[in-house]
Amino acid sequence: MRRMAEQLNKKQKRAHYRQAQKENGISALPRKKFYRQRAHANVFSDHQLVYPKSPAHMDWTTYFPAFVADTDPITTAQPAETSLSNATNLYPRKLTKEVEVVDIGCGFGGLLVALAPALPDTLILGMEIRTSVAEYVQHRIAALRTQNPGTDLYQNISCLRANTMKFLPNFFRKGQLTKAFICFPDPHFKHRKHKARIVSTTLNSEYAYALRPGGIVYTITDVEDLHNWMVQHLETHPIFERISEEEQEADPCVEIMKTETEESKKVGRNKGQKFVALFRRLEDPPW
Amino acid sequence: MGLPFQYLSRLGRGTLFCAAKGCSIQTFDLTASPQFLFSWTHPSLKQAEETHEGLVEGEQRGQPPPSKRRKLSSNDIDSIVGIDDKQKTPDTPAGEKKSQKKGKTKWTPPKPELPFVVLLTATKDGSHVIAITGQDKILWVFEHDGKGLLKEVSRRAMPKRPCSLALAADEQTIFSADKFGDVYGLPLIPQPEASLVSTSAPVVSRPLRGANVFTVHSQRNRRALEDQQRQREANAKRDVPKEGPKFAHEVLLGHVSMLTCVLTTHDAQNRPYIVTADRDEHIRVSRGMPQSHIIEVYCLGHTSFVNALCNPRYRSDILISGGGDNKLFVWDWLAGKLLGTVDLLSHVRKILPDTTKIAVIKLIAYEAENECFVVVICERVPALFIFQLQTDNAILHKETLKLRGSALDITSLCAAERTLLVAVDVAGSDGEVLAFERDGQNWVSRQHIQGNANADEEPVLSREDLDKVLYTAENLRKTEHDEGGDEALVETPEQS
Repeated sequence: MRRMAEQLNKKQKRAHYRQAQKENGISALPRKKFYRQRAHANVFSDHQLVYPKSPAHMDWTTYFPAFVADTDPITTAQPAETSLSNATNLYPRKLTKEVEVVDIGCGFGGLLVALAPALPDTLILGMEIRTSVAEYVQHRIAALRTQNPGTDLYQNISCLRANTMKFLPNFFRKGQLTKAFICFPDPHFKHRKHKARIVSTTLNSEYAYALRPGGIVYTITDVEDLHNWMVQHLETHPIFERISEEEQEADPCVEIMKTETEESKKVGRNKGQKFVALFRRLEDPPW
Repeated sequence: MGLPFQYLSRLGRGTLFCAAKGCSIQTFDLTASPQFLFSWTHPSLKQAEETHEGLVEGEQRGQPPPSKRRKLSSNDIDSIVGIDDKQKTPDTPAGEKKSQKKGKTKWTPPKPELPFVVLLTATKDGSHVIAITGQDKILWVFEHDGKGLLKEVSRRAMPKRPCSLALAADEQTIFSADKFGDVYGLPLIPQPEASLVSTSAPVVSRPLRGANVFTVHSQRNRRALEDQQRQREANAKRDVPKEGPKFAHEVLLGHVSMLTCVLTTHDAQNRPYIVTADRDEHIRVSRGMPQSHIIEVYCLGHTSFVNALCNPRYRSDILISGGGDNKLFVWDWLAGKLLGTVDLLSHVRKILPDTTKIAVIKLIAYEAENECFVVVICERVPALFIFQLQTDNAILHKETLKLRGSALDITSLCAAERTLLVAVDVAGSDGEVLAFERDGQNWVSRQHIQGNANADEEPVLSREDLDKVLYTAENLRKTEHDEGGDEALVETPEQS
């Protein structure tokens, strides 16, 4: 009973907070405690996900308003609807550049915020399956943009709610990405749950599809077993090769990944271990 | 009441075909009299005798079918008792799922489900027949003598229930797509070395250690960790990696979604491709073996599940797809480009006016006078819809053929494809296959083929239970309320 009362209370506080936020605008950074959500989401269930039919149908303009192309919406005739009326389809407005970096399972967005000034000319997208956590990141980015008026700071990052294990190809066309970060993923310890891990032989083919040759998958975890699993699965995949230690340490993104994600800060506070591994997407073999 | 035929496959290029009826496979010759040739029934439905050839063979291979059966032989009862004693060791597939879900160790008999034949296909020359029985997930291969007689060659229990089958171009490899989203490649004829270790089965990870003192981040969680460590020791026995099948099999590719259809095709240079469709609206085009890990392209545009694919032999550059959407889609599959769509719902409404949603269950193509046609059947719709694929890739409705009952499966016969066979679910009938003969460009209903009811081997099912087995496509549709407990506002456990 007490638990229930507490929860109800929490819910009310959350509602009040959201209401206040709506009224006062989004100049202040959101507070994490009002966005907490159970750490695990079932990647196999349908949820109520919103995703585009195909990358061409994705409207990025609300995510990256500073990069909207100044052209009018492009009216492209869809393939003729045979034996139906010749309906035309309105593709969404385009951006001046495409998203090239993704943080798969971005959590509370620490990496995004740190990468924004480090890769100022690149559009970076965080993808998170938990609704309220994704919402937190969106509010956080909105607040950061308002706090830095007149600059381009934080205009190049955004976040959306998505199940990347199912719908990555709905958002990105073949070879669109240059970097994909997989930071502190859910370890799914039980053998029975291993199919739910974000790195697997069969899923790696999808990462290979979205990444262009030369693109890099960044992985970091505090769970040694999971690290070994990710290394094993990415190394044995013919399209990926592991990047050498020297090259890895020379990559400025690695330092950011090791220190700036929320999870890595937590692990750092507890003096935990961090295991890093980078993989390069190779050219497709001759066919 | 007899069972309808639920699956059809031609046997070679002649007039022979086979049809699945409940847990049996029957073979027929359309031109012979009598037409019925032979019947095979799943051994669990027979009063199993120790001397039964198939059973003994299977046991020797170490893959007895799991024991969720209706009629039990003494053997099976033994094996169930065995499971109970051993408290679910990993190599007892029966009932494993159920007990793991509840975390109980006590055996509870699952609702009896019959090993219906859910998939049936044959090699082009008709020399081999491949069948899947759903309940026990067994992939059967039979040798066909060219006269209707089927002889069991192998039975292989797959890790998950197969949903679709295809054959590689050389017909020596079976592609089996399953509910878990994986496509396996297995040799048509298993090699005799029974102890084959699968070549690219999921990589075995090192023993589990899980979270440690470095990975938990609060006092409360540290205490929890101690509990967990105790718990883990107890669990360690239960959480053993599930042993893979003992026969040669290779994971070729995988979706994080239920697969509904797999087909093999080739491009203009005759390079092979594997096309897979899933419940999450995707059609994926991967390279064929040995580069099946390379995704060439996706065909995206469906807004509901994809359930049927068709790649006309004469227009192999074209792919036609259907499923839970109201339309059919026509693709340039190698470019991932949508060429056009055609409305199907309006044609279904002319047969069943109250229809609001449809589920395409099968698409087949045939050629007549240098024109390409596509035949569509939808779940619980008593009609065939015939469309014409024009040279400019536009697709037009040509005619609708009404049936006496819902169409369950369809196939074409003979090299010239002058015959269409349709399995029809007619209440009260003992299984009915309808043969249409082509007269110019029109189809004329020619004959009914009645099933051979063998009362001893035919299970008795209520209509309701039968519908559950026969009509499954609509279950693929996503519902509005699926959020479940995932979204509950529970405080984040800080431990990862």
